Amino acid sequence: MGLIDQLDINEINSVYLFANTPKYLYRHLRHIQSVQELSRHATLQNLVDEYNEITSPTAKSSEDIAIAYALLIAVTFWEYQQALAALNKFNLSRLEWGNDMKDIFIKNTPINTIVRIHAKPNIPRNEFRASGSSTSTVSYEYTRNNPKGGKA
Amino acid sequence: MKTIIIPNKPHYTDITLHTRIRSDIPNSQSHAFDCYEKRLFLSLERKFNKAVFREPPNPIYNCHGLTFASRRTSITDNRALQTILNDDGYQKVSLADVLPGDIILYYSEDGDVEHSGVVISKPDSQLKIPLVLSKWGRFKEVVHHANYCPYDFSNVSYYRVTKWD
Repeated sequence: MGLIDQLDINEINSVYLFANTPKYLYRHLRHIQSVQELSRHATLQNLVDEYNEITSPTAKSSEDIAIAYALLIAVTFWEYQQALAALNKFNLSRLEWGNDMKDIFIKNTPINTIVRIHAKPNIPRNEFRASGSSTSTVSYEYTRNNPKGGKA
Repeated sequence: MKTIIIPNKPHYTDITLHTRIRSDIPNSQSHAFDCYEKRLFLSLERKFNKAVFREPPNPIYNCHGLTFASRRTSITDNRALQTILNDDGYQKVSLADVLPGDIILYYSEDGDVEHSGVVISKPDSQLKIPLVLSKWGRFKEVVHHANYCPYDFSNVSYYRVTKWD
């Protein structure tokens, strides 16, 4: 069975046809279970190859276009850096909202980042003298965790 | 919209579109359907058989183009919609005060405007749901109750132009 055969085409088409904005398309395609499963069962290279084939410059039906968007969205479930590297291999300009999909992915994806801020306490000098304590570095950690672990 | 772009053969265009105070509004016009899309549209009509679908389908404009750009083009950028609301003097209207001519915006969970339309009747006295004229994607204009559509009715707001200077 091919990759695309796993997709729920009717559901994907409905989302595609009703989409008024790229964000609607992005958000609702991500909710489709068959798209989520595709991202689990396919490799990134599979998705890239399938996308590039389906969007090759020959006559296309709207179903092909809807599937191409679904393949793009399947990539967005992967870990951020891997997904971004894969998205850079897609010829996104072949879809009207291809680059929008990538922009939304970049803006919306939780990033596994630790920001460490080393800051000296901002306390008047005489208060230190009074307490007799010395300044020290305080470390704050801010973490945005990806709730699904490996794949976003 | 959403057509594959073949180099040197653009399938879509745009127009100069401004708000009342001349902020630029990005937009795009699509110019074609394919046969497959038309077949899907027909199945949709059967699914929503209590709505009135206005002929003909027209890919040039989307719902926001109907609501805010007089059917001339599609508006797909949420920031642009916010610019229009601000620049053109829209203010929220409570459900109790909604009148024909007001607009309805359907918001997603994260605050994006997923759909819009124009109110064409006061909310009925029992269910408090108005009739709306809106455009469903690239498909047709549809007259429907505000909650009878493929968009999430759980988070809607109504607006009217109330400010002019």
